[in-house]
This record gives sequence, C-alpha cells and structure tokens, in this order.
Amino acid sequence: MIILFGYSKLAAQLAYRLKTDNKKFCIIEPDDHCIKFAIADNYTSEIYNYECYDDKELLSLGIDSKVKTIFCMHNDFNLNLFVTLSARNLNKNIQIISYCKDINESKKLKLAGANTTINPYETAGLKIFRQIHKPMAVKILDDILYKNTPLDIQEILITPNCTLNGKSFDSIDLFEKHNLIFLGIQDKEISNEFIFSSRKINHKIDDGDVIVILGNKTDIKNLKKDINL
Amino acid sequence: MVKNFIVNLAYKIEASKIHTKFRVFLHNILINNSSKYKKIFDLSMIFLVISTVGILIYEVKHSLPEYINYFEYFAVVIFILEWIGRLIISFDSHKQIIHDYEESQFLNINYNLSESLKIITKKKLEYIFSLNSIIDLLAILPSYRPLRILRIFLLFRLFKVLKYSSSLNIFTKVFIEKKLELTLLLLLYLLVIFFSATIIYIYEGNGLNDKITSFMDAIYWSFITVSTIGYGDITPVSDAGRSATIILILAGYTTIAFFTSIVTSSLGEKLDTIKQSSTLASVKKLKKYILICGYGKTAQVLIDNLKDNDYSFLILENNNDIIHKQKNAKINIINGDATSISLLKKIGINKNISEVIILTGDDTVNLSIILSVRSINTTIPIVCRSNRVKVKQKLLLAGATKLIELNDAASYVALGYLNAPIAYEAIDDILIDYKGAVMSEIEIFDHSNFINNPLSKIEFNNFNINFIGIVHDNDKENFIFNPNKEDTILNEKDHLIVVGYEKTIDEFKTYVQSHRIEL
Repeated sequence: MIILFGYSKLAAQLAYRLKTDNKKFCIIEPDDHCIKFAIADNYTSEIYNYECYDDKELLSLGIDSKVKTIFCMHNDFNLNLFVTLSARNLNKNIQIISYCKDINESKKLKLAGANTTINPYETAGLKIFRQIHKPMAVKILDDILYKNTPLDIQEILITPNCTLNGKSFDSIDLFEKHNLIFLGIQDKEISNEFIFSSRKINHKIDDGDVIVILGNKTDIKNLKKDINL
Repeated sequence: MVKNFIVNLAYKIEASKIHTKFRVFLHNILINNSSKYKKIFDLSMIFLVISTVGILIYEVKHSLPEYINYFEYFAVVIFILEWIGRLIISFDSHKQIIHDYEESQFLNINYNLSESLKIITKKKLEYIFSLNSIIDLLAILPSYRPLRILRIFLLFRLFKVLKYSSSLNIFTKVFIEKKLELTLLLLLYLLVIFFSATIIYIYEGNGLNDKITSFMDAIYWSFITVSTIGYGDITPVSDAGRSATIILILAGYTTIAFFTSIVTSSLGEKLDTIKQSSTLASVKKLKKYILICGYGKTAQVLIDNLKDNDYSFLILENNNDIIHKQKNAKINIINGDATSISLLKKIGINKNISEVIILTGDDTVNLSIILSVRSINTTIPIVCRSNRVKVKQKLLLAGATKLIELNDAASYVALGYLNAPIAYEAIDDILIDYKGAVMSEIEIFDHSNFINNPLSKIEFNNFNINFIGIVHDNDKENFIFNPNKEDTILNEKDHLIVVGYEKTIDEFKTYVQSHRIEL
C-alpha cells in the first residue's frame, strides 16, 4: 500500500503514473478545495479528507503495518514536515518520499525522517544539464528505467539461504554466465552508501546486502533462480 | 549615351566580385565591431594620432629631423584614405542607380539619371558634414602647407581617438543624450557670467579697480570666480562688486552641482549598458556556448552544474533584482527581454550557440521566446520548460525540440525511488559524477586501430570498468546492450558506454583513443 499525502500538481502527476503502473494507493488531502481536484481526476482509489494532526488517522490507514511508502507531496511545506515526522515516528521502516522546494527544506525533511526528497526545480535543472553533458548515457538509462525495453536495472536483496551469501565478489562468475552487469552493492555492515563494482574492492556478500545488476529481464530472472531466490 | 554608360557601369560594379570583396574589407576594418581587423586598425590609428600629436608638442622647442616630416605625410595619407573609405562605404551609389533604373523600367517611364545623382550627392554631402567626417577633416586639413596657421587644429586628431574606443563613445553619447539639459545649463552659466561681468564692469571698470581695464577682464574675472577656481589676480574692491561676487559664487556652485549630477546620473544609467556590451562581447568570442533564458530555481541548478563542468553560457533575464543579486557571481548575464527579436539578433543566434534553453515560469512567454528564436534560426535545438500539460502541444508546434515539465520529471524520479531506491540512487550518482563513479561515452576516433576490428580486441579486463554496451554511429537511436564481443565490429565514431570511477575511465579512454594508426 502507498499513501499519497496532499494533492498538489506534482502529486496529480504521480497519481497518474502510479495508476499506469497498477500500484495500489490512497490519497489524503486536508484541504476541501484541493480534494475536489482529486475527485475530479477520477481515481478509483480511496480519498481521505484527513488533517493528519491526529496519529489515529494515519494509524487507521495502517501506517505502522501494511503501508510501505508514503509520499508527502502537499504544497504546504510545514504540513509535509509534520506528516513526515509523524510517519517516521509511527513506523521506523517506512519509505518516506517528500516534496521540497529548496535545499533548506530538504535538510529539514531529512532530519524529520524522510528517506528521499524531491525538488522539481532541481530535478528539471539536472535533467537538462545531463542531457547536455551526457546525452547518450541519459537516453540509455531513461530507456532502461522508464521505457518498456527488455533491459532492466534491478536490486536484489540477499537472503540468508541465497547461494551468494558469504561469497566474495571475485569468486562469482555467475553474472558473466548470465550476460549481466553487476553494478555494485549496498552493504548494511559498512554504511548505507552504494559501492560500485568497478572500485574492485574484494568484498564479501552477506545477507541483508542489496546488489544492483543491469541486464535483460529474462537473464535477471534466470540468475535469481540460480542463486536460490 | 552617358546615361547608358553609367547604368551599365553600375550593373558591372554590382556584379564585380572584386568590388564586393573590397566593400566587405572596408566594412570589416571601419565598421564591423566584431571583426578582428577593425581592432588592429583602430589600435594603429590611435597610435598614429598620438604619435603625430606628440611630434607637435616636441616640435615647440626642438627642430625635427627630415624623416619625421615623412612620417607626418604618411599619417595624413592614411587619414585621407580612411576618410575616403568611410565616404565610399557611407552610401552605395551604384545600388541607387540600379534601383532607380529598374523602377523606371518597371513603371515604363524614361530613366532620369540626374534624379539619382541628386540623391547620391545629397547622401554623400550628408556624410561629409556629419560630425564624424568633420572630425576626420579637421585632423587632415591643418597639414596642408598654406593652412599651417591652423596647426593647433591638429589637436582635433585627439577626437579621432574617441571614435576608435567604444567605451569613450558611450561617454560622448551621454552628452548627446542630455543635450537639452546641458544646453540649458550652459546658457544659464553664460548668462550668470555675462550678468556679473557687466555689473563689475559698470561699477569698477571706470577706473576704480586698476585690474579691470576692459570688458574682457570682467568676463575673465567672472569666469574664474564662477568656476570656484578664484586665482585672485582680479578682486572686487567696491561693495557692489563684492555683492556681485557673492551672487556669482552661489550661482557657480549650483550650476556645477547640476552639471555634475546630470553627467554622473546619466553615466550611471549607461554603466549597465557598458557592462552588458562587454559581457556580450566576451560571450561572442566563445566558440560554443549555451543560451539560457530566464533565471529561476531550475536555471540555478543547471547553471551550478554547467559551471562545475566548465561549460560556457549566457543568461538572459529581465528582472533587475535577480541580476543585481548575481553581480558578483562572475557569470555572463544580460538584462533583457528574451522575447525581443532585435535583442536575440544582437546576440546572434548562430552556430556558436549549441542550444537555447528556455526556463521562465510563464508558458506564454516561453512560447514567444521560441518563436523569436525560430524566426532567426530554424535549426538550433531549443529545450523549453512547460508549466502546464495542456500547452505542450503548442510549444512543440512553435518549434521547441525538447520539452521539460517540472512535475512530470519530478514524478518520474519519485517513482524511480519507489521502485528501486538503491539502484536509482546509484544511477543518480553515475549521472551527476558526485561520488566519482561515472557513466561515460567513449568515441572511437578516425585512424583508430580498432576500426574494422571486433570489440574483443579492446582489453576491457585490464581496466576496472564495466562495459555496458555500444551505440553505432549509423544507428544512433539504438543502444546495444553488452553485445557479443567477437561478432561486433567497430566503426569510426561508434560510442562505447562504460561505467566506472573517473580515474579508471580516464585511463581506459586514453588507452582506447591512443591506439591509432601512425600517420
């Protein structure tokens, strides 16, 4: 389950994409005026007119259990901040993605517990820059991420009974065998930082780590079968 | 008969390549500010002027060797040639004849040569009596022997220096623009001088003051006093004279204050123009730069990144507050309305601009800018921000090559983080080069050893990089992921896509691109 808090212009776009992706989500909008837009856009998902000052409202939607992600996309920064803090307080593991307009807002939201902040001005500026700086790379990655190509970038969580568990980078020839590119790993033990495979640190893979691979969808499926996932 | 000859001549001149070349040459050295020849020409002219004036000063107490005279003749010949050049270029006589002749043919009437000649003479005379030409002539004429008496006019050559320097030109423009105010002030000044000179002459010129013997003395005293210089060689002795002095001094202060404020305020206004024209001039020298219209938050992110990666760019913004904030940021920014075709023409939307990026928050303004750019250049890539989904179609219709919608782009990113947060962050790093890991495109240059060889010839394994795939030059739209290295043959201008750390990628790039056939 996904919660979309606030029905701003950005949220409207996001709701559209979530719907196209067949994701299940509900919308919370405290403002009577804005809620009309959400209703007008005709989503079959549930729409709640909650203010979210009371934790009970969020709890009633299952924020501490079935909700995996909450998008705080309200136009009012303080409201976003408030809901971000509430959500983090109610659920340590929830993914919180919040909308901000500048770097100071982003800092505060992260302090309140947001995993990621989205600044539309920044993303647009960066997007234009990347298209100038690395047009091909951007196109390839965009295609892989958003277009329906056979290629995919996937992250694989290593479980205790996965065959890769306990092995080191060097001893794995599985990726080559499946024609996959191993981009890197996020090691819970060291830090949350992503380590690119090209750094060539001989690293041991443990359960709880996340590895990121690039390749054909079918090849990735086969790999997963091979490593017992 | 003469008529026919002249018309034919006009057509011959029009068709003559030598003549066209000659005119372009004249234009480049005399008028075209962006031409490097003009700069050289201007500098040498300034040198000629200053050296001849220097000779004039030296001559007062020294006798000159003969060759200095030749130098003077040489300078004058150059001055004359320059003046003739300007006269030629001031108006295209043959074009006027052709125009009039063709018009008469079209209207089926007899062509009247004298009419054309009248117009040509009028235009040429207009030039001869223009300020520019008079300054030039004054610099030439005193060299003519019988007019040696007018040698002091050689100093007018210094005015020529003004003509060759664009910053000084702006200074003269101030005087031209404030002509009315300055004339009024001058009249007032003269009136005050005349008034007080008359008073002092009437009261003290009758023998009371032995220093004032003529009206010229009175005028001189008045001028020295009103300018607050006050040598004190002539001082009033009567009460009436002293009263006149008091009034004169007060009036003097006021006029000087007025004069100063008019000139400084006007210069202040012009200062922005000076700055802008120097920004424009420095940008125009760049071989390749990006034009950004509108300086907002999005532009800020873009600009920061461009700056970090040594891209050149020029920003157009019409909000003065924003521009003043950026005053010290050392970026090329011009205060101007990007929708204005004349401004864009002045900048020159040409091959020096790699792309135009339009980022204002108003879709109608964006549309207007696109059309303005397209009216000058039909092929240049235009990236435009769209603020509403509904206007996208219209922006594309107007000629935008790529659109960026803020919420659209942001929602993609949000979705990316939802689906695969770690992978997404990794990709973000790759694209921004923050942590050193980069995705890079490596081109296979001509004369490379690898051309017509299989991909397996490149020793990827010797480098700590990930080879992702290849984009062939003949099929740029198609990215081939991790191709079979034995079967893939490399061609010129193919791009290898690799991921790795900056340092290792640089090593790999050097390795790939240094494998060249020795010529």
